Amino acid sequence: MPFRWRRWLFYSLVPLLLVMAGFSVHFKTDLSAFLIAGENADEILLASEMQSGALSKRYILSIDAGEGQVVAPGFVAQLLAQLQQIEGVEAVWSPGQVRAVTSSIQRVLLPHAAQMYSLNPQSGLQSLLSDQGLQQRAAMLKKAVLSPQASLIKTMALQDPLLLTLNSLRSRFGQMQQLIAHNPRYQNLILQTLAAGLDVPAQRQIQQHIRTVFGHLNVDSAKSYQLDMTGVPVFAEQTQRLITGDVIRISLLSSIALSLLFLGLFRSFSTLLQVAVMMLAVVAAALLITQSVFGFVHAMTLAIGTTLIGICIDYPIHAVVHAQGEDEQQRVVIISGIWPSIFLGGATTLIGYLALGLSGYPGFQQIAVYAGSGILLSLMLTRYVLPSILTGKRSSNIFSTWLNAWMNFCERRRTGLRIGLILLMLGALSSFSSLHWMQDLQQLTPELDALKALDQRIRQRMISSIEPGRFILISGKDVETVLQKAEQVYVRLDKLQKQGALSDYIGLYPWLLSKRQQQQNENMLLAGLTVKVRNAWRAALIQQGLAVNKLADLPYAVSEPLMLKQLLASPLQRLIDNQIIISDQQTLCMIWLAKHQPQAVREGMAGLSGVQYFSQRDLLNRMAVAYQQRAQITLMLGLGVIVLLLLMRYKSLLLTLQTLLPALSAALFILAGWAITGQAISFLHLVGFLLAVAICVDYGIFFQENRAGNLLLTYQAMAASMLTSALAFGSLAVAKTEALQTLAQVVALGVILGFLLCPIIIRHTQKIS
Amino acid sequence: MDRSKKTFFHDFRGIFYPNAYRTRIGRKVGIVGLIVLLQIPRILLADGTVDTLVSVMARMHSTQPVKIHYRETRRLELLAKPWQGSGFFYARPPAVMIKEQWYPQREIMALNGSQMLYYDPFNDVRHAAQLDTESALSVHVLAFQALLNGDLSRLKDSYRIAFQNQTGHWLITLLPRQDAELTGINKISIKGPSGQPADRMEIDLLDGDRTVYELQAAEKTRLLDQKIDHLLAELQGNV
Repeated sequence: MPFRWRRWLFYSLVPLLLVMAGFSVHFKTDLSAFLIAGENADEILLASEMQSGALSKRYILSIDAGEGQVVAPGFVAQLLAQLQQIEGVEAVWSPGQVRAVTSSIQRVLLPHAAQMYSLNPQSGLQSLLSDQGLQQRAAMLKKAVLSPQASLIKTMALQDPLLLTLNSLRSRFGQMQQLIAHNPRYQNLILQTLAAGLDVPAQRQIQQHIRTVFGHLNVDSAKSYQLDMTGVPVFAEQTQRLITGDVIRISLLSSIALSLLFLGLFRSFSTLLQVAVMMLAVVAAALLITQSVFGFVHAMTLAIGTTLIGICIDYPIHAVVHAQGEDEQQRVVIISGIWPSIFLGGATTLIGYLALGLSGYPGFQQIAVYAGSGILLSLMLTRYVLPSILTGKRSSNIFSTWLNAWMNFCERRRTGLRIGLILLMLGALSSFSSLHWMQDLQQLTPELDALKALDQRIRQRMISSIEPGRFILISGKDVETVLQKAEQVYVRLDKLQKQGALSDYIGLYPWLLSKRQQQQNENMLLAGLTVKVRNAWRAALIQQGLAVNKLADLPYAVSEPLMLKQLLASPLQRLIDNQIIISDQQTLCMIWLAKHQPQAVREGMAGLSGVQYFSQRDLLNRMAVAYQQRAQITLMLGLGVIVLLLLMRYKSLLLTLQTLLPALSAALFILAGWAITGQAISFLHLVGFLLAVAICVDYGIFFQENRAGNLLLTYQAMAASMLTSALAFGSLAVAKTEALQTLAQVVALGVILGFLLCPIIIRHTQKIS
Repeated sequence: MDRSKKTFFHDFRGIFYPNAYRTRIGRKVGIVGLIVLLQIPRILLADGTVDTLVSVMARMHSTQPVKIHYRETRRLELLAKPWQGSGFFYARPPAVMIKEQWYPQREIMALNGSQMLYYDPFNDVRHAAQLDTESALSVHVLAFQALLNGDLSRLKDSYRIAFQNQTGHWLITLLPRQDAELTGINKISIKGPSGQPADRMEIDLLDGDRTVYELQAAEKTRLLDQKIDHLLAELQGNV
């Protein structure tokens, strides 16, 4: 195809690609989706529920009246009323707001007193129905009737004179008390939104409204209360703000820096424009490919991917340095000449990215696809399109004097430098014993530490003992299976409580029991209510001065078991919907734990199928270890494949080692740096390490092969590539996300070192054919 | 008391207190506030003028702590005969209301801001809970706080108010505006001799149960603030 047509076709395709990418790419900003993935069906369902289920839609709002002050009930009442009016708010309530719960207990649980009264009727019923047990029950009833809750007891006692409903509720109400702030300085509220917690635009608007409503009410009531918020939507909003900020900052900085560098190197706007358009085409096509593979593109992919332009741009830059100022035919010849080196360099980098994708880190799988397709596209465009679009005159490289001086210095002092390098490498090796791994994946997101601390403070005001991140996870094919398993778990947890290994737990009981257990309770109770028992009850009532005509009858009868759907249709839903997740294939139940000994609880659950002790932090750390192990394996595999490729190319172990050595030396010094500074290594460090090696190998190849036959020109081209890589990755250092900062340090340092070491390590004697 | 019995009783009180129980307690504590307020005129003035709702309300408005003696009689459908109790009510504007029962056994309950407290010294049981802002209790508490602050319009938000001057005494009738199921109250009647503070309050519940408080101003003491602080500390287990 004539150059003119090729040029025209390319420039027509670029806007089309951009428009397609603009319209079809769906961006996500949820950091947890980028960092975390469940390893089995239970964990995946749980993760999905935490991201979009009822739990994700809830805020905890905490009002702080200040030291020595109390929150006025009137203020809370007005705030509740106004918050309820905010568009997108489904419900808002105080944790102690239980009027609806009380009426639901009467409506939903009271008719099932005979079915729900016990987890273990064999042990308690006989004692309850004994003469002494009935007398105690009558005494208790009298106390209750005279207590301030007489109205509720009255309603209950008329249907359930033995107050069996209280048997099951006793423990739970004790727990509910813990949900309520004990310090009148604070008042906590729960706000549930219609939108999912990760629907950041909707949540952001709601958060603004909440603050506005609170601010106005504060002013109107002449108060100076403070409002704190926590919950999944708050974390989601903060994370998105963080990522968006990073993407904008990095994109802006790297674009400006790369443009300036490019202008400095080539002194040509037209060349800058031509390469920039090529890169735009690469980014748009890579976005479309990533979208088609994953169905979405994560903003972190874009943030890191933007940096990867710095890698993809290496190939056209290398070509431009060699071919700028030549005529079209000559450009094709020159670029064809250096193409094998560029291709091999691209292939080794691609191997690095493939290894990255195999590390198991969910976000990096996407980055691998994005960057891998970018590299391939960039290689192809450099080979087949760049010669057609490249114009402009050759410019003198502003770094050529320095580069020449460095090469001459290396040439003159090679022996000394090599000895120095060996000594330094030995020193670096000796420091390796201080290297250590990061054990806690949460350390990867220190930027959210303030929010985590606030979350902790608010939860301490509200929940004295329940730990939100650790619980018993029960899975089964349906609700009945899960409830039956849960009943086995309660027995074991009670035992652990008695042993002192667990202070308390919150299960689905007293709200729900399996149909099997309800049936057993009912059968045993009805069989136990003999004429003798009824007469003994009557005598006990008379002895306590209670109204026999109202309470002597024991109206317990056979009825249908209480079902989950009945509870979910009542206000009791708020109390249990954070404990059960139902999907088409399976049902999960969470039993929340208070202070406990993890190992004892884990062992306590042994032998129960479908029951596991689940710790979010443990899961993350388990994943961190798994990622580390995979990263180590993929690192070795990646290096192995690169060595194999080079061996195939050079058919000489010496040349292969020479080509690899600048990259390996750079890697060695990076590792030594971590060992000396005591920095804990995460799989992210390993990933950066792999990238640095993969890029540095390119320099070894370019320098080793010197296809232009002009070593200074080759080194100039390498310098341009190195500077773009270092600048692009260096731009990540301005990110607030520590994961990106880690990548910035490792890769930028690695490529600079690798570049500088080439003339020391590789002695150029002849051109490789 | 038998150990197992005691434990069960403890549990039983613990069962209710955090929610339904607390609503009733709160209502009682709210009533404490109302009773105390009704006694303020006796403490502040007794000039024999014709009473009006506005003048009675104005007399109720107080910025000082108040203490009232009460005798309580409850006629309940589930009891074979009426029950009696007695003790003291305390209030300290704007947010503290306390009921200290002495007979038949000592019990203390209080509302401090939005926090409700309960202490049964006999069984050594304490509870703390927050005011349910959607409950009958909150309706009463907000109303009593309105009374304490002389805010008639806010009181009218919760109750329809009727005021009568009868021979030798005045009568205020409060009819809850909230739906009957929420408040559980049919009518509250407060009565007092002309120009005098209230000496009787009757609470008629929708289910037919009835509670009567006979009230009498307790002796004035300059140490009332300290007494209230002491009771609050006792409720919180800090004594």
